[in-house]
Amino acid sequence: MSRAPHLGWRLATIFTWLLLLFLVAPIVMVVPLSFSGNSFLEFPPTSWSTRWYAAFAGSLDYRQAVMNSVIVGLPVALLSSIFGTLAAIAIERGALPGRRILAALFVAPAIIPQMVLAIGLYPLMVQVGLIGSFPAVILGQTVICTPLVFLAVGAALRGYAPSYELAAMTLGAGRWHTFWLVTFPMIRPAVVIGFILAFTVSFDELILAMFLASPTTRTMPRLLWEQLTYEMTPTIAAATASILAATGVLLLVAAWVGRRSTVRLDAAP
Amino acid sequence: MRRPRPWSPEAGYRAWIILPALFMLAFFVIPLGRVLFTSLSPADGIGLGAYQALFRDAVFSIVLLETLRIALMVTLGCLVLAYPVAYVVAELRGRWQRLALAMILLPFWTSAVIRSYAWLVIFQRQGPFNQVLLGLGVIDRPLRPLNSGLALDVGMLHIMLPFMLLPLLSAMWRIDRRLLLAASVLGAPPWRQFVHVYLRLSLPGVAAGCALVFITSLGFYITPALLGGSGTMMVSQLIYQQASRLLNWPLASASGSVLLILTSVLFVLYQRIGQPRTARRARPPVAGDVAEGRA
Amino acid sequence: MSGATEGASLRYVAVAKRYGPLTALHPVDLSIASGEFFAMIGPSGSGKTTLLGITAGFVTPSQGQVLVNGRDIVGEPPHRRAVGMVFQNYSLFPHMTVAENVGFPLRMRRVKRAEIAARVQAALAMVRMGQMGDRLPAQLSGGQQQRVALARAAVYRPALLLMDEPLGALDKNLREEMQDEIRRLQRELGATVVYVTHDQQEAATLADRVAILRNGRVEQVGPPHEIYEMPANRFVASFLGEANLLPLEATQGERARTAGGLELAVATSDAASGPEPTLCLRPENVRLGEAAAGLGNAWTATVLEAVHIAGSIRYRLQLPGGTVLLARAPARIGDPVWQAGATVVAGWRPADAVILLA
Repeated sequence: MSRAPHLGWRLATIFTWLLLLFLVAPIVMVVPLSFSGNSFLEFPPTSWSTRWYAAFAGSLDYRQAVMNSVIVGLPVALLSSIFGTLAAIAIERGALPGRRILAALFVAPAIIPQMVLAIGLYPLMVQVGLIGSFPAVILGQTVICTPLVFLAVGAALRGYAPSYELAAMTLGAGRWHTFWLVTFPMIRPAVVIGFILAFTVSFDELILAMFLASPTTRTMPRLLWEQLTYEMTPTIAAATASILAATGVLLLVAAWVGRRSTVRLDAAP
Repeated sequence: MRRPRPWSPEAGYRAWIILPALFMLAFFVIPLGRVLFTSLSPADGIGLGAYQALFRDAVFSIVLLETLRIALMVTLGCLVLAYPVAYVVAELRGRWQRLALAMILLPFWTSAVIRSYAWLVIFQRQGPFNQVLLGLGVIDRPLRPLNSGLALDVGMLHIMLPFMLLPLLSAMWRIDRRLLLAASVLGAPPWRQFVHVYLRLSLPGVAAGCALVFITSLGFYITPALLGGSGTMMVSQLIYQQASRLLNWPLASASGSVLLILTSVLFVLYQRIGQPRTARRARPPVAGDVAEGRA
Repeated sequence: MSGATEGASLRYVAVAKRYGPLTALHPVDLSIASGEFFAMIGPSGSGKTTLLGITAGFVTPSQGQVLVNGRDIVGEPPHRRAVGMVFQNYSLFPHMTVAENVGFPLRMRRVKRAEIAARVQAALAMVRMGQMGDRLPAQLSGGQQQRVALARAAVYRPALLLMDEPLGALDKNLREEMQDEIRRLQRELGATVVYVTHDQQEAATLADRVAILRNGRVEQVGPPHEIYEMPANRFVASFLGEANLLPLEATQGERARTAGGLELAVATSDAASGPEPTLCLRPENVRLGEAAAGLGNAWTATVLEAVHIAGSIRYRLQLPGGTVLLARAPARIGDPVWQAGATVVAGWRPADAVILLA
């Protein structure tokens, strides 16, 4: 639609870019803050240094928290990808009775307040003796990350006709071959995107980690949170900026995979 | 004699639900059921004792009302700000649209801890907010936005805006532009084209965005804990306090149950009115569909 | 790839499908001979796709048997049925090359690598796609994709080939070209083909026999020309080509009166005892001008409209009493043409019209 540069339209465009700037600016601001030479949080910093990155990299606490986040995040992403993909295929292709309710069950964990889930999981984990361990955090976060994979894979499955799978079956492929040679290649981009998003969410998750982790298994967000409540040094800014960079890279990968996948899926008739 | 159960393409996929369903049962349904159950049995037999205690004390009612008020304000604020922006972004093409999308998705996928932290820095006593206002001469001594609720409002708006923008965008992308053309050929003036065609067709996105923002806002913990100062408290903060400081699990469970029931009802309503699950065009799932799930 | 396989014989015995209270298919009995090209046509929702799905194994019938060479295959999974199928959207796997797609059924059958390569090449050559083996489906046109889909369904020489509106997504010229191709392929392969379409012209062009379905029932089965000439009822008459359908009020011997008040001569009205007897007259059997004189039925009619359509002229005529009649006459150079508003004698031989019972 071509449109004459109308005054209202111009104002709306200006407003749009201002609002988008408002969305991004506070996050981007963390980066110069992390290179501050001041020992107190000041913006804009009056001098520059990388000492907060040195402090961040040198801190045993931070190093362990990053390690813990990875130790938790990878299994969470893997388990979420498996559960989310299985559920999406069963619900989209299985003609299950009550599929609307089941679908809601696999979306709900992303919507239900995490605090409620946390006070429900805590006594359960105490009972089975997992509280404070990595498996407790992994299982808990997998619950809230599964919906991301479920939604992404579900959308991918709705994006192509089931006749591809039926065609494979008439051509002699049993269930196993149909899944590995046809269904999985078709949904692979969605599974990869879901995996990345699940990892990102796990890497950022605070509330379940607060209840289910112990000081030795605490993840990055929990350490940040503990730091925030009693000191406000630019070390936190350095830590945040690092997380931000990692998140950014992961999202770029996800976007790249997503771009490629739409080309493929749209090309199919 | 009965035939052996016939083979069908659906039957085989059905079994795939078992593993994920068992997982969800064990670590989602049972824990939530447990919260409901604990709320009903404070030591001495099943009863509504915890709820009586909860509502006898004015604190819970105040916190609940405050939570609903904040969620409502954030929802309305997001809608008013996001609608024109989504409209403009939906009209953008090529690299400008990609840039705008990236600017929405970056905060969407950045942790609430980091974003709340950024606002904490901006709004502290010597932070950029006060510096700018002092420098412009608007005020003569530093404001305390962290205690006045201003920081919380701005922070929540900032965090929830992408949740409104993405459903709006996905609804607006689906609007067939030829309908507007048809309306103009039929003689509708531009404002009527907008109200009768565009606005109406974008309503599913409005409904989805509002439900998503409202439901998510109800459960917020991080932002109010960090930016809310001492004046405001939301239900999740109260639950945390009851559970981990007071160790009063029946009370925490009763608060949690109220929040759980409230969000569940809204979620069911949202599923009913929102998203008709018909075939959609395949889009990058990063943008549209995952917006439903990231909350 | 040479030498034809023996096509399978196919028999449906009281095959029906119900979804709860909805009946998608009432009990169907049909026999399809070995090597026959059999088309099923009908509007959407007529049950033709359900029947095809039952044959392929995607849909489990509520009752009945599907006999292939005398053996009941109900309950057998599609991958054990050795039935080939071509889909309307081609369903070529987008992540595999053309050669990988065509080789897929052979790979599933554990054929040796070298043999796969040879047979894929032969199958592609058969559909004139020999040079395209390395392409991805997305790089092919619609017609080329359909050729590959045909090669893929035929490469393992199934004795039974099912086709679900295979030409539905192609434009008209390409469709006609592909019809010839499919017919040639079937002759070379010798397979039995069951072909679903909603295009009656396509069915008539391709098929040895046609079944017409409506609302989950088979209305009529037979060679296309036979159905065209002797339709079983009004639905079949109007679905297959154009027809003048004149409801009859009274019949006696070789005379009949239409609801519009015309007194007609008919070949025989012995059979006209059905609930709603109707006279079916094909437009090309209506003669005009001198040719109409002396026929059993002749009236002076007013031309309402005359439209030239590819080699023939289609007239809309009004007979005395208001009855509107369609007539089609070849547009040969030199033949008289009547314009709208002209009067002309229109008539037909009693033997050229059929009386339908329902």
